[in-house]
Amino acid sequence: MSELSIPDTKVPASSEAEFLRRVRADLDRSCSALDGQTLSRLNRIRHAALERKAQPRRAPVLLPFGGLVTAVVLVFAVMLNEPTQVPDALPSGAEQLEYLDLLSSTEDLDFYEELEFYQWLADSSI
Amino acid sequence: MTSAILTLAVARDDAQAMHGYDGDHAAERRESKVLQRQLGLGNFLAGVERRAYRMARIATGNQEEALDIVQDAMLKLVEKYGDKPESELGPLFFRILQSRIRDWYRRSTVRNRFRSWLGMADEEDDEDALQLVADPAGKTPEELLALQGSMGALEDALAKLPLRQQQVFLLRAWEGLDVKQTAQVMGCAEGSVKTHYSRALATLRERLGDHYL
Repeated sequence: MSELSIPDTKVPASSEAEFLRRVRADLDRSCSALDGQTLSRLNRIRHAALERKAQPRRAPVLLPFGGLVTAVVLVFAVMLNEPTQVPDALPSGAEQLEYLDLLSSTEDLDFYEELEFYQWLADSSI
Repeated sequence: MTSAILTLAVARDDAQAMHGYDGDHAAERRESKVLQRQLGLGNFLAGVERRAYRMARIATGNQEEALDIVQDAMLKLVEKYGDKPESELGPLFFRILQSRIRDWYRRSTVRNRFRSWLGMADEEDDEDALQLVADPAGKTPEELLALQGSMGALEDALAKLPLRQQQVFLLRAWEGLDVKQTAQVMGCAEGSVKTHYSRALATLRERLGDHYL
């Protein structure tokens, strides 16, 4: 701490320049007088920042892919959110009965999904 | 510093390994340039960290907040502007630092307003007294007394200034930035810088008269 000297408070600060010189000197001295704990923390902070810089940056490489993925997701979101077409008319009475059969039936759902196949099978066996 | 150099050297070796370093002079020159830039960045941060901390400490009046602000400013500088030449780093760093100080100021203003509405006491903000005790190593009692006398008065006077005046004064008078650079760093007009600076100077001269005469 050889740079630390007692401020000469007896000399009048007659000019602005002299006043500023003293302010700067005091501020510089306050930096020199920082305690060991604070200096150690500042040191660690600096090293952490530099280490981050030293790490290879991968983000720019992945950025275009990220943009592509976002675009695809957006397209799908828009497609899936398209308003479904409202039927022009309500189902007729016969159709309603069919739907009721479907809902009340104990058959497995797969059966109805393959219904056309079973109908073809029944027709061809005749 | 040694560990920083080692870190950078390891980074250089990694970069060399990644790029299939085969002794090519162009690649060698490029790597050397990167290494020099990183060393320059390290030197810049080492040279500025204490002043940055003091500025943030005077603005916040709190050691932890000041260290957080310096940390954020360093990380942002390294991430965003780490490839800039060393000569450009100063204004960029102080611009980030000022932005962080203003963010802190806004947050603390809102927090204090809420606390005052809720009638909460601010005993949680009280600092650990041990944190405020300076390391007395290497200083005589006379030196400490003199330092605490003038520096304490200066810090007190600076802390009582409005934030903009305080930071403009520190940037102009201590960091040596000119009006234009200060305006860029503070994000305000050059006329505002001149006004803040002259008001801060007049107030400080008035308040510090007893200590500086």
